Amino acid sequence: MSITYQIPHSAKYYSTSNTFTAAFNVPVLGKYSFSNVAGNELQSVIQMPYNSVLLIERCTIGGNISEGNFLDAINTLPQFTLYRRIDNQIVYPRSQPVNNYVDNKEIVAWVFAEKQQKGFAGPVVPDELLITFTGLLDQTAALVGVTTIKIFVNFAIYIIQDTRFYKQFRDKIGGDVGKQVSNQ
Amino acid sequence: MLIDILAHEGTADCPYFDVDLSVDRVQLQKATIGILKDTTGQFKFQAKDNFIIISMGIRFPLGFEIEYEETSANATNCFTMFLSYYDNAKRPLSPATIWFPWSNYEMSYGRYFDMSIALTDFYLVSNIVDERPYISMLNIPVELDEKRYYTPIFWKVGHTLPLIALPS
Repeated sequence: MSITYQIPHSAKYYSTSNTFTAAFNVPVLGKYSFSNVAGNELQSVIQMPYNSVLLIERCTIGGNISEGNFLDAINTLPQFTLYRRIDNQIVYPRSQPVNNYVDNKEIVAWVFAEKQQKGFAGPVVPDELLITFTGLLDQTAALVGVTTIKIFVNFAIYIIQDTRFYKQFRDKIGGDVGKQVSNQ
Repeated sequence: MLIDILAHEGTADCPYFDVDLSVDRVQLQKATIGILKDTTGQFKFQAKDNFIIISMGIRFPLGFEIEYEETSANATNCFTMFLSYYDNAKRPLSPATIWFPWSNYEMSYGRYFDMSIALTDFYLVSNIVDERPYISMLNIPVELDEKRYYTPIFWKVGHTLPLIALPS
């Protein structure tokens, strides 16, 4: 089953890729840990232009070990969490479990970009989509000799920079309220 | 995968036998220590490094052979070896013993050891067990009488982290 959306034709398609590594014995002895590894936390997925709406449509997940070996080795379920940099707002209500390798899984979320860093002292930075990956794998017989496990998470994202669409998305009252407008 | 052939090295680590032509057979003697080392003398596995035994065997000097008994095969007809490891305390791996009927032969083994039970760096020790085989003294040249021969055991292991030197 697939959900159909109507998005402006000016929407740009981006394919992103993030790699997460778990080294054997570091930091958990005898395991491959994705958690508490600096490189796996708050990786940048894509920068979000001002006044844009992102449609995260699909994700693809794979790794450098076979899926069977990955499933056999799961100790603590690997999962990823998507954030927006500004506000640390979580995109999905819960972390997304990675309990198999997936190819173009539909994983729809709409995200809008904030304008700038909030707070008085913070520098002005564009909003950004960030991802954190956690999880713990055992070393099974098949994984003896594997020093590093890598998991690749790809997203298919549409960035929509259309003023009308953005206003509608945010349900904002603009100067065109009450006017008869057409999307044609 | 890192593959190391760990073998007995040095007289204290090898099983041995003394040739005695005044008897029909002599017994293989246990090694004093039995630590397995690689070619560079390193033998310590890093903590929690799991490993797979790929193959194993025992080297035997040319011309000597186990004396096979006329009765049905039993433990005295085999090299019965064990493998254990030390960290802070000697703990046996289970199943620790293996009957190995041939010398100078590399036997595929293929067993995985989860070393999450080892609390610190560890090393492997191998030896023959008490049911040691007899070695025939028949047709042994008299020049070899009263000589001592060592029979190192080797285990080929696959593992993940490099071996390290034993801290002094």
